Amino acid sequence: MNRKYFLFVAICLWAVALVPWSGAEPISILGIGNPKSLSYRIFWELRIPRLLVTLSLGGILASIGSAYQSIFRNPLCEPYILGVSSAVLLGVVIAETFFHQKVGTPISFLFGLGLAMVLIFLLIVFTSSAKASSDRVILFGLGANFVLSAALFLLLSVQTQSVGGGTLKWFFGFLPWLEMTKSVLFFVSSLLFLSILIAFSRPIDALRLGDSVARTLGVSPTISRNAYLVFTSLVVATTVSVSGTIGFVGLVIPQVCRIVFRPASMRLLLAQSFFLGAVFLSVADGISRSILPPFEFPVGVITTLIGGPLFLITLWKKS
Amino acid sequence: MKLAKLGVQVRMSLVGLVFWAIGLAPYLAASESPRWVSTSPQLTELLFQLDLGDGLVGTTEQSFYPEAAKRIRRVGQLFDANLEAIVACSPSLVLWDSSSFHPMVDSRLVSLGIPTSKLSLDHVEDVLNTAHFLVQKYKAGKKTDDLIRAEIEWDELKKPKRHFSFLALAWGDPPIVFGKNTFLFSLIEAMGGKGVLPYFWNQNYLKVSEEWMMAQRPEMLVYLKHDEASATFMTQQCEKWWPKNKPRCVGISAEKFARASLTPLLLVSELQSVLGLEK
Amino acid sequence: MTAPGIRIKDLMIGFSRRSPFNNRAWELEIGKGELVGVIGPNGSGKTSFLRALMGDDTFLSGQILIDGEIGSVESWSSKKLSEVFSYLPQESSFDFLQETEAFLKLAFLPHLGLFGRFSNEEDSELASFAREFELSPYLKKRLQDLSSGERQRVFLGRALLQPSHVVLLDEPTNHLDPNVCEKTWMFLKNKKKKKTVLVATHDLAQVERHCDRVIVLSGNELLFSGTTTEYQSREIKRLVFPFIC
Repeated sequence: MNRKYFLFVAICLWAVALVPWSGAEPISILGIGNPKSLSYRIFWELRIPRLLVTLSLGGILASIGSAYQSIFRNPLCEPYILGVSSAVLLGVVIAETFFHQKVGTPISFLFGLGLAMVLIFLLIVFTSSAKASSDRVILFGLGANFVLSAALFLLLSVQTQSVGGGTLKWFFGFLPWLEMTKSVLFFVSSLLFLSILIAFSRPIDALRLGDSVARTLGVSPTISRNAYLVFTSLVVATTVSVSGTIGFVGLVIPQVCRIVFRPASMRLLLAQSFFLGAVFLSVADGISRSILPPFEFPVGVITTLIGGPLFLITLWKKS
Repeated sequence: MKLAKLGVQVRMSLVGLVFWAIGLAPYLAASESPRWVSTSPQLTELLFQLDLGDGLVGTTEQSFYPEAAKRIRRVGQLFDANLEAIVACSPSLVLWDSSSFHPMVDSRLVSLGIPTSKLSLDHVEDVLNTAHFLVQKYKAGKKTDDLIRAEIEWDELKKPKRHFSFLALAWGDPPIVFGKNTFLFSLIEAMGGKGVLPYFWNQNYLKVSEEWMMAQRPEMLVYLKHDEASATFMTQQCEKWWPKNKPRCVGISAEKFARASLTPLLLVSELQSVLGLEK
Repeated sequence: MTAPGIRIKDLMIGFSRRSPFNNRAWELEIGKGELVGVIGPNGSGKTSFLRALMGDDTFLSGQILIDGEIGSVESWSSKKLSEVFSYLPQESSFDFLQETEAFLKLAFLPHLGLFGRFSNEEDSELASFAREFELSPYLKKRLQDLSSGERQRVFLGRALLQPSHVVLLDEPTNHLDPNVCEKTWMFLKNKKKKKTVLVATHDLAQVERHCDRVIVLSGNELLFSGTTTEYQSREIKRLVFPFIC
């Protein structure tokens, strides 16, 4: 078991190491050392930051997915289940429709995050009421998703989307090209986020046994759930504002972790999900940039196309 | 013995120098002549019309005019330029227009030290203003024949003439009407048309119902189709569709008359005859 | 206070005040260190009763006073609750491939809080409990790999391992074979020196044999609360379970 584990991790690391070498433009190994060459520029200023960003995003989404699946005791939970992502998307589309601000401008960012904050506030109000069990919270998220998606589709149906820089393509995941310092910061923040989640993971273990039992284990279900949901929703809102919605990672990576690694505690599950999510998203990004250069497939499409069959194969082999 | 060693050293240094030069080459090349990347086909065409096309090292797909543009390296899909491909051209300037502008790619280019410039080709006037700007800045005011002719045609158009109400449409089902800020709309308005639009919506491409269109009773319906052949076919077809109101219904070729460069101005008289307007 | 008594006054059970489950308020007392069997037909309110005792969502109004503690249970914080109560629900949810040992360690959660580490003391306590309760062979196995009976014993073990004073068990002998069932009841009988235990159950024979007190519920009403001898003499069983007598 241990040997297979290390082999698997080694393969993952090797795959991640290959990612910065793939993309629209072939680069040379020699060029990397030479600050004046094009290869240097592309490798160090574009691809490595992009790799850091995808590692962070994949890790964040997968760990939030595993946290939600445990908190709500529902294997179908994923980071976008509370409707925060729909709120951000709606805000961005509103900015584009009424204020002609394309995705990526500060106003568009503000609208997206602003609407997400409104939703998180409503979520807090709802979960603070005494009757908010975990099932009810999921239903709230479902309802919010319906309402927001309806408003979204209404706006999209009325206006024809501008291509390319338009919002519609961004919906399926658009990974940003950040500067090196920003991406390092982002990566470090994601690791910090993971450590906070792991540090506070004991209450999740208790919540998994049910609200009544959790209470007898000293964990107040409403307070802990609220705290987790608000914290993770803020992080989800930020990631969606940065990169649009990337599906599949938060839903399936935790399941794969459970089936393949069978972690003994919540801490291990969080750490493993983070690792696997990071690897998966960066590899998917590498593939999305290599199929038909210079066209970049939206990364959310690639994650689903590759992840879907992979997941089914894992299920089949392990059953 | 010493000489032989020296020989080896010299050879090694030469090899090192060659590799260094290979790495250095793009940088050196970049500092000599202008290397521009245009992110939209109309911009590319305009640049060629202003005799600035030689400096182009990259453009997006669908850049078919003029012929020379087909040979320029592609850096992305239509209105969807790829950052890495742009950077790979080692450009000295990247040009956007409002339909291709991508804020995220733009800010990253600027942070990489590549200057960008956002130009506007929304209206006919915009095109002329942009042309003047470019010619002033990069050609020391030397206008090309195309530009001079386009200006003449534009002056002609500005003279008073008979007005007619019109609707400009594309992509038959559901009908999409061109709004105020589109090139085609501004072109036909310049020819004396008064565009009919739903007053409450300020979008560029408006979906409307056939009912609403008929209720507006425009004097002219202009259908934009991709090329000559389908435009002619359209003209024949839509006469059958509008028997009662009988607006003048015309199909026009987008290839010829809707490219936001100097081309439509150069073909204005042809457009006027297609639309049945007196000179 | 170890093995405290419980006094219940004017207890109304239900989810909303407008429609409580019971028509008449309940009033009863449970003595120190008693092993109490709560019996009744399906749907008679056993689970609701146990949950109301903890101040959970089925508690509507009334007072539940624990010897040696201040205030009625519904006003307690989770921390206080965890010091006094431990609860085993009827259906235990687990969707996780956890190891038995890790699962049992959750019983120490209230003392550890968020960041505390497991000490050697707790490890040895767990080991000796596992030996007593015959869970040692399962410690390193995953919950997923156990049979439902073995798993039920692990869940029960978690509730018993918790250092609490009142233990509320809702049908703990589900899935257990008759041997193990009897052994479990004997184990509970031994535990009662340190804890007051309430068991909602269908094991009528074991209740008569091992329990000190019997509470009989029917149709969400309290039919009887008294010692086992009283219960047997008054032939309440015939009223509530006519088919088996």
